[in-house]
Amino acid sequence: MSQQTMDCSEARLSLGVYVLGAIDPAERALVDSHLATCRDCRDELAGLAGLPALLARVGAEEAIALSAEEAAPPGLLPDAAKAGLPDTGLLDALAARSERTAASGTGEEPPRELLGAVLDLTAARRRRRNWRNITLTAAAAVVIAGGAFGGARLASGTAQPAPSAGQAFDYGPGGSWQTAVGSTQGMEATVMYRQVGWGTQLAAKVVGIPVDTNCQLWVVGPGGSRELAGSWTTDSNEGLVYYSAGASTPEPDVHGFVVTVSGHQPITVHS
Amino acid sequence: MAEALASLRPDHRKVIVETYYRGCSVAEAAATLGIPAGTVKSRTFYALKALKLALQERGLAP
Repeated sequence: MSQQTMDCSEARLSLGVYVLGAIDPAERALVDSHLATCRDCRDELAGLAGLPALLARVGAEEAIALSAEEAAPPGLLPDAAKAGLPDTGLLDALAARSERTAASGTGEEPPRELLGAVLDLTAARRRRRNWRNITLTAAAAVVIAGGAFGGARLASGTAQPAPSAGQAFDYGPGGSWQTAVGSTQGMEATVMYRQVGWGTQLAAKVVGIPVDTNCQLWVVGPGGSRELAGSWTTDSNEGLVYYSAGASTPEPDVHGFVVTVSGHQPITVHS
Repeated sequence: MAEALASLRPDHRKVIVETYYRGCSVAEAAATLGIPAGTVKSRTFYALKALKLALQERGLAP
């Protein structure tokens, strides 16, 4: 591989670790510059870009357990046997319970003495969360390079009146609108969101971002998973427009939001 | 979704577990799995292609 540039065959093979956020930063820069000039690779990337959100539907515990099972059949797992972990049914139940606990935010710990016998879930989750954060700083490049991902690009600089975002986007029945605000380095994002039948309906407003800047709104779900909810290009009516967006993550599972801004730090918004 | 993941070849599933669910870098995954970094990259790419196919078969991906 050349130090300065990357050809299609090299870039293609890197796209898997690129979308999953495991690529190393220096190589990410090479892939980014290749993507900027190669439509075929951008199309390939667009085809893979939806997969992380789908992978997030499976809990890390369950996925890791899938691999652990085949590495050593249940009866041959010495630690599991000592801990009295009999079958995957129990593991599934524990994983589901831990998911619920995370989602309900009660702070109640899953029975670690059992789960810990097989895997250190907390460490795995922490590592994963760290990587998601790193991924997000470069996520703008993914979106810009890949163009629209299916139906994700719900708004492209289309203006809506600001003060009544709730009314402006109030299509059909749903829960009441909630508002969350976050800021980073002089940029501020306001996210309105509500529960609807298909997931979470969102509207985002940003200030302090130059005109014609690409932004993406990500919904942070259980375990630090991210779902792309929408993307837009800032227009001149700064602070007066709400960009509409939507996510399949149910509103009770929404832990927060991240707005990625091309060429800037991402803005974290706590729900 | 879990079913689609379970349907993958074990070596494909392992790279996804390491690079996504465990949040490992390419180098960490290579060390854990005992394979070259280049293999982690290419295998992850083909694993995602296989996963997409598995999801399409189940009507879960366009």
